Amino acid sequence: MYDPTHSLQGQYTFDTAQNTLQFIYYTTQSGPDTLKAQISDLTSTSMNMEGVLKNDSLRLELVKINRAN
Amino acid sequence: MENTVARRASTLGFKILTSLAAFLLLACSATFLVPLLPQRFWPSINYGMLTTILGCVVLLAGTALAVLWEEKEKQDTHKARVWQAYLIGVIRYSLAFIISTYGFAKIFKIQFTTADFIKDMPLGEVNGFYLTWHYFGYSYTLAVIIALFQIGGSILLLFRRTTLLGTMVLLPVMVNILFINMFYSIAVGAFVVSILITLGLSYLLFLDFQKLKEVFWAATDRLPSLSLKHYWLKPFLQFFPIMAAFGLIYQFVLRDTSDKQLVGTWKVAKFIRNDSLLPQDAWLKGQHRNYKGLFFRTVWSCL
Repeated sequence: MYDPTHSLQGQYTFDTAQNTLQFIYYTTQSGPDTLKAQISDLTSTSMNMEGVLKNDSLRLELVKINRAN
Repeated sequence: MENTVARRASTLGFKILTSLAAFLLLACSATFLVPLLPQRFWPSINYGMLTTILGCVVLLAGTALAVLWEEKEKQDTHKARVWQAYLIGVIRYSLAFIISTYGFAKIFKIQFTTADFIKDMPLGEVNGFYLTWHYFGYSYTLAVIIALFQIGGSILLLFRRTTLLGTMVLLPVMVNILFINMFYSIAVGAFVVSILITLGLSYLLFLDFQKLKEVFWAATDRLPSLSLKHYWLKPFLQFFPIMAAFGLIYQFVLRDTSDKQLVGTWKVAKFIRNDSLLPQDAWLKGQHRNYKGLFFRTVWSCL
């Protein structure tokens, strides 16, 4: 279940030519910050995302959830 | 108005319609009294059978009364008009009872209360009925305002002088409720009742058709008609507000370059942080530094 208090919310831009994602979010503790990530193997059902958030390098394998509405 | 009603009263079709409407709404009012029966009777009530029997009684009694009314009119026109006044009275009073019942149910919080286990469900899994119930229950003030319209409009239906005003107050409210019942899959019984109420109010509105036509169509504001230099300018200006509104919104649609590929919900199937594979439930233990999923919505997203 989505919990807004445990999430990072912000604006993103997705460059379809370069397959790069830039996610700018804001937290009350540290102010604005940016996640820059490379998207690969993007299909309608799955994708991989690799980037750096704060001091962590992240690699995520993501599966799309189909919702009725 | 008198002429209109008298002319319509002369047709058998109008008499059948009036009699059926009166009996139907009276029967509908009677079903509202079922919960007053002792609870031990409730399981034994066959609502399908009850509806069928009531439907047959309404159909037979309504048609028989209409035929009797037609015969009576041939002998005594005045008495026939009195019959008509009684039946329209039954329609008005039944509508007032049914609609104000829903109004009081809102004030006393019998309507729009949502069970806690529904509140614990994810929003995307809640059905139309509970979405509606929770949405309207969210603001008790709004529920009371709707209730006051229903009760106030019902009071107006009780007097001949204010019946048309009451109908005009209640009809928009009821059409709204009818559409909510229809498109949000509210209980079948409530849907049928909302159809009956809307038809009953439409019938009362129809009685004053000539009066309404005079007010809404024939009457003008008595100011002089404006003539512009170019003949095409006036129709253009008349439709300009609608065209401008359409243009304003449609340009957003045309200029929309937002992402369409990522939009939606993505579940984290595998999460590697600093070259370490994290377990599936890591997000539960490490708060927001371990992510359960990503949500993209046009230019907004969250991790």
